Amino acid sequence: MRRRLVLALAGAGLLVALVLTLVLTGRDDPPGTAAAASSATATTPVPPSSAPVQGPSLPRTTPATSSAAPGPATAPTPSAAPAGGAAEQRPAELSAVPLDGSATMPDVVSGRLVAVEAVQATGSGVGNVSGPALRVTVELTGAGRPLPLDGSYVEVLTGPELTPASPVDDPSTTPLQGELPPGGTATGVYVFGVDEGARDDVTVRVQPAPGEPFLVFRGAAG
Amino acid sequence: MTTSTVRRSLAPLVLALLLGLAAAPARADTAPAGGATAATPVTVSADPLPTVQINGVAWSQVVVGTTVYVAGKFTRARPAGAAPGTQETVRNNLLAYDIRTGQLITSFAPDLNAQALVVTASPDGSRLYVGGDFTVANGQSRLRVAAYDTATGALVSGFAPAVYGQVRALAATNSTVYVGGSVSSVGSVARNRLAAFSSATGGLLPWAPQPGVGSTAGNRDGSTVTSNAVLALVVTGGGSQVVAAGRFDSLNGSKATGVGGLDPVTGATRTFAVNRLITNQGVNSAVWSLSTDGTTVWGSGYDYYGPGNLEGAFAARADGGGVVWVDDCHGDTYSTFAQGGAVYVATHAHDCGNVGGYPEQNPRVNQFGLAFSQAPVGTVGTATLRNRNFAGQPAPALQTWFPTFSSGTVTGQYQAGWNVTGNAQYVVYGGEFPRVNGTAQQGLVRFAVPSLAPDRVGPVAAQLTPSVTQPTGGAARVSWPATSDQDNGTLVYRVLRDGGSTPVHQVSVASTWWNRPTTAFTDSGLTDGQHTYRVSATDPFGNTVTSAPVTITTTGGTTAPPPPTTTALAQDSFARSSAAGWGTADVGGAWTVSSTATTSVDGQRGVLSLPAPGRSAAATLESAQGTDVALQAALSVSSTPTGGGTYVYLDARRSGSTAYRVTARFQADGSVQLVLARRVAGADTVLGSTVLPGLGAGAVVRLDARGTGTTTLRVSAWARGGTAPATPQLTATDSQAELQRAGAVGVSAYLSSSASTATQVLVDDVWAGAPGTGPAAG
Repeated sequence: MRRRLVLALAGAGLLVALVLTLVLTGRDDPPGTAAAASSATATTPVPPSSAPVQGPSLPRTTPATSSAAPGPATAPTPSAAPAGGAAEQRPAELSAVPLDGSATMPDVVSGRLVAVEAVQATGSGVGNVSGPALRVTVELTGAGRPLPLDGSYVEVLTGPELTPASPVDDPSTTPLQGELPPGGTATGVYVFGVDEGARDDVTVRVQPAPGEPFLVFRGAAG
Repeated sequence: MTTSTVRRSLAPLVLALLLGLAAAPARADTAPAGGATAATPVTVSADPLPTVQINGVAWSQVVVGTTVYVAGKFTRARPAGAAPGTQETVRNNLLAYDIRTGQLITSFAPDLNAQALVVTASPDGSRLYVGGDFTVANGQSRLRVAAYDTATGALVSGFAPAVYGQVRALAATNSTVYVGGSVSSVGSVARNRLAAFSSATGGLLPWAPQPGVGSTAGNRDGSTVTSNAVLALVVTGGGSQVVAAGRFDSLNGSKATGVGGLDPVTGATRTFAVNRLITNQGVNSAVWSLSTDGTTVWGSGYDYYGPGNLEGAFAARADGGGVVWVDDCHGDTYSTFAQGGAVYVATHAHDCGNVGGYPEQNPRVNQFGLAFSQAPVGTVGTATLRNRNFAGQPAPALQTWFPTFSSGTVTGQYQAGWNVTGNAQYVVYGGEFPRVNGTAQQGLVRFAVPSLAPDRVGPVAAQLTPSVTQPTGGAARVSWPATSDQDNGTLVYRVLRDGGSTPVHQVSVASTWWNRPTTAFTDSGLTDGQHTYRVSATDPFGNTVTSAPVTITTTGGTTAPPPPTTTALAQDSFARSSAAGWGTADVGGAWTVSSTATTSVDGQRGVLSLPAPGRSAAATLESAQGTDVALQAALSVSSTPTGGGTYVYLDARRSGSTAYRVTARFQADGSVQLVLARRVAGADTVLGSTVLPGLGAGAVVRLDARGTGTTTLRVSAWARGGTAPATPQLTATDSQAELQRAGAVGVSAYLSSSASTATQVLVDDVWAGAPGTGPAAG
């Protein structure tokens, strides 16, 4: 498990670097402009020393032929970037860890699920269905640099087909927000409608910030 | 003739005065009593039309041509009338049906792997856009937004942006798709709840307005959580502006609470004035929805332990966001749709007293579908929520349109309708209701304009419970609280005696489900013994309910039966209000008026306004055609006549400018001059004349015309409340060829050119029938 996580992380690292560049150069840059700004040198990652590059053939200098992510990491170049640039780059994801495990993206963030609880959710408004639900408490610990969490995103999917569970605006919901300093921790509470029969295979995906890889937790809940 | 007593409750008027409201407007419906006006548009009928059903909840709908697209959380569709679990067709979270038939469109079979929250269409109707929680559409990866080709029903392959965060709102031009929700990013690019895409490629556009959060100090549950989620989007002015609504308190750093305007290209903030009155923001209140016709924007909101002051709806000008009106009903409102001069809402409004509608009931009554005038009519009272920002703002008029939705159990929120939209002929609701008007009809329902509807919703029978007493010898007083009708505000009541089918009394009374005034009629001159009375109520479409009989044994009366009564050719008591025109008579059809500017009905009388010397006004019942005909009316003038006086005319056998005419000229000395004439192509030939003193305060004037070849004409006049003279004051015969045929009856007025002040002629108790007979008792 540890090995898979690391391998996937290495692949994701390329995109992390790309996205980091985008964040640093301005998140509101128009697409295309942003992609262009991420020059080849900026997108050539230096993998963490503990994270060997995945597979035998990952090229460090060869132009990319695909921008698909996740999957085998490649280094997109401006010439190969699709029209949408970064807007068409789906964020990478780390390999799944158990629901009670912890996931780490070196120099960015580490995270764990403090609790995954079976609750009766109470929602209000369009899109909200009150009833059986899972309440997920996410804890992130900062590393490396301050991380704004207002753009964080948490989702729950169920089953092998990764069917999305719908969020519920339960009063206990307290999304991650504010800025996460290095070494600091932040907690967010999210509620998703999940029937009792769909809890054998639950995937929780946590994206600390736009473009960052997803931390992935998977297992049986409740 | 006998006398009648009509009591009308003063309670609403008193209540309105206490609340400081303007006079309550007439309530319109499928056939407004005073005719359609801006305050009283013709609504769709309250008949729920058979419509495909769903096994979940519909969150959003859009109509393209005659197709209704429905987004929600459901897995099966079934035909109207089918029980749950039967005759089902798989439809996962998106379907289409024909608005004309209510039937599922089988050729459109999309499939979404999680709920859809919003659906919209491109202005040209070629594209359907759907958003929500799904990640797969028709087996293809689609992250929370997808496009379908409306012509083929196929998923559009070239439109597949990767949106992270729930999509709650969509708006489209033919070239751009605007997305709102809890969106945090697109692909690997940050977005703050709002994003825009090229419709051609799905490529992300630079448009990135910044909704900001507000203070949590207004949360009355102590919550310190906040939100800037976007919940609704519309495009106005043909794409010249985007209007967003939701939980935010600012846009691009500028104060903009709950709703705001945005440049469609740059995302820059536009002034949207109503957002300085609305205080809905945060996790406990928001502006839920928006709709538009391009120039006006309607929005709706909710508050639950938050700082919000809007639970109803608002109308604002798209350009600048200035207030058009505020529907300050209390009870969350989820959706709005403007059609035909009315604005329909999906809501659970339980108190509309602050806009002149129904007050809070005990036990509480939630109305899940309401209609308001599109035009501002009244004023918001002072019983506002949270603050006084809306007090004194223009208010719409609540219409008499009250379909009964049953609340559902799908969402656990016990709501009925979540969305309303439609086209020019239909209004469609979507939600989680299991029944409408007591009939099983789950999740979706249609209503149609009266010309396409069955119009079978009539007065409520159970509410019609008359009682009878004997006030004096030989008399019976029948009284009854008005019943009500779900889509007609004025009903005609008929009192039927001793099993007869000819009414002994007829009266029009306005009512609503919360305001049912008691009406009474005293039937006198009865023979001693047992008498049975029933009261019927009839709506303008002929739907009639009749009460159970009530009986009384009268004493001290006569031994002879009362005189027979005949069916009236025309009858009008003017118990309605109309600002323009005379509307429709109780019997005899619609009044044709010379000008709606000088004709009105004030709730008791028809008014002919004479704003200047030499002016005239007229009203005719063109469908009340008769040859042997008597016409009478109670006539008075609003001010003492000046100069040559005020002329009032009753016409029989009228056709164009040809008629038999009696003139009642109200003169400055308090007398009334009666002139009988034949009028041919506008030229009068006098057949007799007399002056009657002492009728200046008002007179009943009557003209009888009988026979053809040679017509016998009789004219009588007497003080109102008095009795008709035994002998007519004027009698004549006439053989003018043009007048030996049937014609209409009418009333008109003229102010002498030498008069010095404007005046009004007031007309009441118009009756036309057979010569020698009079109005039915009452």
